[in-house]
Amino acid sequence: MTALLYRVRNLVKDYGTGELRTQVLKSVNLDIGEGEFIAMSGPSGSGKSTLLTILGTLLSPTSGELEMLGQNLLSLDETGLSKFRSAHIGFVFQFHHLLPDFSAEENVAFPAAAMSRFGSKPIRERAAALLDRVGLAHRRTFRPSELSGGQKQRVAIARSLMNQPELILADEPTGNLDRASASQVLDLMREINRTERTTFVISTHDAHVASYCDRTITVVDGAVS
Amino acid sequence: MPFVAVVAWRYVTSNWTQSALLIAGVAIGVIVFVFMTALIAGLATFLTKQTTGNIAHVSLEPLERTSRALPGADGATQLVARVAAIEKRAQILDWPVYLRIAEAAPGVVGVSPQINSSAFLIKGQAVATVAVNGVVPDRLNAITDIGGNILQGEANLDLNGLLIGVKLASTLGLGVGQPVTMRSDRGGERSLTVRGIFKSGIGSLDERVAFVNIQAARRLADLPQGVTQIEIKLADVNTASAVAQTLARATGLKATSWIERNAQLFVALHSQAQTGMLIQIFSLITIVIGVSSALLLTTYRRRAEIAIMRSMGVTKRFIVTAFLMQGLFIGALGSLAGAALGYWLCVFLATVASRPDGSGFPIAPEQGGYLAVILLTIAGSVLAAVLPARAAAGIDPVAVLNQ
Ligand SMILES: Nc1ncnc2c1ncn2[C@@H]1O[C@H](COP(=O)(O)OP(=O)(O)OP(=O)(O)O)[C@@H](O)[C@H]1O
Ligand SMILES: [Mg+2]
Repeated sequence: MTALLYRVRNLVKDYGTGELRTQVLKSVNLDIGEGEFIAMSGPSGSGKSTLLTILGTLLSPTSGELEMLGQNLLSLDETGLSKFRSAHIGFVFQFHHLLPDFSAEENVAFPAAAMSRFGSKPIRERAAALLDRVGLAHRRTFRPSELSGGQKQRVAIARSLMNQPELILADEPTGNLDRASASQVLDLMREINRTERTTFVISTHDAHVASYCDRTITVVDGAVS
Repeated sequence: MPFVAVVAWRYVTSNWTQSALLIAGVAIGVIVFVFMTALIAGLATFLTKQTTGNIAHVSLEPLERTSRALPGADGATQLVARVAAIEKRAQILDWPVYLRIAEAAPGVVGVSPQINSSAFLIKGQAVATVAVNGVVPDRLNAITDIGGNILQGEANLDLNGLLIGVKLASTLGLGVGQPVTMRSDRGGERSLTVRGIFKSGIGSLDERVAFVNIQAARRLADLPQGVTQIEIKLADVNTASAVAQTLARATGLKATSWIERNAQLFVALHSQAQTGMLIQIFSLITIVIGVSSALLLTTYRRRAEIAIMRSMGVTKRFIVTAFLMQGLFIGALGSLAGAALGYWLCVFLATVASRPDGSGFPIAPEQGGYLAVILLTIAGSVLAAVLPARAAAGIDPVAVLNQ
């Protein structure tokens, strides 16, 4: 077993209050090792997106323990969480990809530039290198509206890598893509996982995606198996 | 440039039509502000000039022999009234000395010793009460430009010479060269000849004032040595109070500035300035509301982007700063454009809308309050961005990303 990256214990997430209160996650226990490539499946509405946003510190759980890289995430305040997220976690979403007013390269550079306060030359160079890596060096100056769905998703992956995070959370990253583009995106993530040992958790409805992964976890009845 | 400024600038420039409209709105508010400020300042200058153009700025007069309160035997005060009628007229006896002191004072451009009294001007059956101004002939124009406004005849003040305004001339049916009798309130009487008829444009002057030679006035007023006042004109009317104080100290005479005599002008100017300020405040409020509502709309339009940024670990502070900076850029662009256009408008009005007599539209383009309006507008726009910035930072990324 590799070193432990993420540890989740007795995670509970309720939505709403009073009569409308629904418990989406009842008791989630999960260990994620460094360098794992995990598929997360489960029926629609089972709580995959909810779990991913909690893992990504965008959403706070009702109760439970969350520990990443030895850091108790529930002890951090808003700003502390932002900083932690910026340094250690990357996101790739199904629909919401890129910032429309920025070029592909600027989108990739954004997470680092926002942290460093000045968009410096090394940041631009790294962004260019990442774009090259996802096969879009020739689209550096293109705006998102000038890119195809698959290209946008590859830019989003390049962006999620910008701050060299340990964990990338992808919520149905191929849900919107045709088979060929989906394979391209999955190949890319798998390759990054192999060369950089970046950990991936990818939610999906698609058995095809699961076939790329080392391990598949399933969210059912508010728990993970 | 800090990256957050790059982001803010990109947001302002990415949708130019929208930003240009917003900036134009700000600029219009600024133009209104500049126009009002320049107009109020121009009007103040114009009214002050009109008021001070033909009057003495400082008048030196003998100290009034006022009623004096004397301590009574039992500690009460007794009033000793003066009986004006039987006293000699108050006069300045050593006037040649004071004349030199006044002429030497800084900023003094004209000095005129005068013997002023009131008299009746009698022409056959017609009688008019006039204010007699006895002046030294070559100082006739020191305070009011009578010589330059002669309609008929000439500005000749020999010992029997008389200069009157057009209205007085028509009241009495007088023409140049005609004789007329002047009877002083001190009983003196003299036959004078109308040498010139002037039109100053100032009603009271054209209707009631008669200029005579100071020697003639001396006899009429029964003042063998002194003068009743020394009138002084200044280069800068705003220094009148200070000059009056200096001269009062130097001469021991009573020195009155035009400012004391024209209190109603300052009341008018004050209320004018207040009206202007009200309009200025409203134009600033309009700017703030406009910027605020426009930016609030963009926060809604950009909520998906804001959610993406937050998922990248961009802090709330970054988002707040980015929106405040949008306010800053819009305020800066709008105020600079507005100030430039406002200046241009004021200059245009000052030159093009000039009246036939040469006096322009009373506006002072150089007094548009440019620095103030630019700073206030920028500050106001940043302030206007506070609400949108907080709304943007408050967007819940999860709610947006799950849509
Ligand atoms: N903000 C919310 N308020 C109330 N209920 C919510 C909220 N967000 C999600 N839910 C509910 O939580 C449950 C889990 O939603 P979630 O989006 O995590 O499911 P999912 O597994 O990602 O589904 P899908 O496969 O369709 O994306 C759903 O029943 C949903 O209705
Ligand atoms: Mg989902």
